[in-house]
Parts: sequence; C-alpha cells; structure tokens
Amino acid sequence: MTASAPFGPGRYSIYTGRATNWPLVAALSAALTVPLLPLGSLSRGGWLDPAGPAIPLLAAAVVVLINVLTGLSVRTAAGPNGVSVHCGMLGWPRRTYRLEEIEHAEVTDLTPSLWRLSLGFWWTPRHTYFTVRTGPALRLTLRTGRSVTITVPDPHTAVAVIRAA
Amino acid sequence: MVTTMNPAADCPVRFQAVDDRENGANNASTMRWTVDHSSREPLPLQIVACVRQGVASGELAVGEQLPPAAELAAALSVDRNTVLAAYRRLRDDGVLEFRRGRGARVASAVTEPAPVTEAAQTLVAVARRHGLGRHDLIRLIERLT
Repeated sequence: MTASAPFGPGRYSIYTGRATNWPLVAALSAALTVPLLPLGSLSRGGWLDPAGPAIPLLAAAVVVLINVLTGLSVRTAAGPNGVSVHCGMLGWPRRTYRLEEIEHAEVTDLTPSLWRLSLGFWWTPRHTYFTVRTGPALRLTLRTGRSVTITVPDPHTAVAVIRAA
Repeated sequence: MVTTMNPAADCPVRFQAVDDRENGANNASTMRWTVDHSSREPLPLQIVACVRQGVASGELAVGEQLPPAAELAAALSVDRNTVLAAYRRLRDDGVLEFRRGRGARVASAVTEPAPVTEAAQTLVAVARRHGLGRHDLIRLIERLT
C-alpha cells in the first residue's frame, strides 16, 4: 500500500558498498613493524632511556594501530549526493566527491603488477587511491583532472547509479 | 539491468552474484537503496522495506554489515535519526543485530514480522474455508496492495 511514484521528484536511488581485505592489513602491519623491532632489540638501557627499546616499540604499536583502524574497510556510497568514501573503523580518511566535481565515472581493472594500487589509501598529486585489492574498481575523473580510484564490490552498479544521478 | 519483482516496489534490487573473493578481498557487501521523499510512506518504513527486500532477494547475506547510519543518511539526504529508527525497527523485528563498535549486521534471513505471518496464516485458513484457491487469493492481495 505504498504511494510512491516510480520516478517521483524526491526519489533518491543510491548504491552502497563495503570492501575489506584484512589479510592485506595484517601483512602491511607486519611489513611496517618488522623494521622497527630489530631497533628495539638492539637498543640498550631501561624503558625510559632514550636509547632504550621504548621508542621504536611505541612507534611500531602506533603504526599498527593506525593501520588497523583505517585500513580494515572501504565503505562507499554513490548517488545524487555524490560519491562518499569512508575508511576503517573510525570512518577516516573520508572524502565526499559531489556530482558537480565528477566529470566521468568508469570501471577500471587494477592489475597486480601495479602493486602500489592495492595498498589502501594512497595520494599523489594526480591520483588518489582508496583500494584494498586488485581487480575491477571504480575510477572517477574529477573536473580538476585528478583521478580517484576506489575499490567497490560492484563497480558497474556504482557507475550506473552515478550516471543516472 | 535491474529486475523488480513488483512494479510498485520501492526498492528495485539487482539480482547479481558478485564474487569478490577471487580478487583477494575476503568480504564484500553491496546494496541499492531507494527512498522517495515525496511519497506518503514514512521514510523509516521505506528504509526498512529496502533492507527487507535486500535480505529476501539475497543481496544482503546473513552476517553482512550495513552502512553506518550517518553515512547512509548523508547519501539518502535523510536525518541520521531516521536511519537509526529504521535500524532499530529491524532490530526489534529480529532482522538486524547491533554489535558494539561493529554497527548493524543482518541477523537472520526471515524478514516477515511475526504478526504479519500469523495474519497471513489466518487469511489462508479463512480463504480455504470459503473455497478460495491460491490464485484467487493472490489476485485479491494484488488488488488490495
């Protein structure tokens, strides 16, 4: 008994997707921590001594914590309000791209050879990546020339929603 | 391609199995939501209907996590409390469960509220007593909804 018109003026049709890759987070955490552990074991002195193991171990713990809190999931919502991306348990880093900023949306295939594209959040002056795996991904080309690549579970639906909005 | 089971449905859902596992991700959930701000139906109920349809169609599997209320509300241009009311309604009906720090996830695949199921069983029994078959009953329900 619903009275909604199929294509009423107030109709918002959006796509949401969530992609995770916790093995990648675990591997990254290990890779970032491993160089710091020998520093901790080689150091001499007590815990509070600047030459002691506390500082490298603390740095390792902070790095792992940041990685775990931000890298566990990439949540995307696409629709008339633009494309919003939220990362991790805290929802940060987050970015919303309004529809007016987006010039073009397409599905790209991230190949394993471009290894840096699967490392989570990555920023360069021309490209931004929110990717957690290889394979099909959503690529937005902004009017400023920047390209944003986001790992979404179903990029074709996301592109269809963006083009329809 | 969007397949709808009922032309008057609020939430056209996409029937497609997307397997992300071959690409390395071990978890992926995708969902389409549709609300109509100009409809007479209250927005929380429209969101509830979206989730029910997603679970019924298989787009939302048991154990899948739903978007946080703030993110879904921003994308749909509704208030965060509207989404929270919808999530709470689904939690009370047993469709969702809340986990501290993990958000809302789908608890069970049974989507019809118990009172509706009971009323439907009563309807079927009464119709059978009066000689109404399955197709007549379906036509009656289609006329009423």
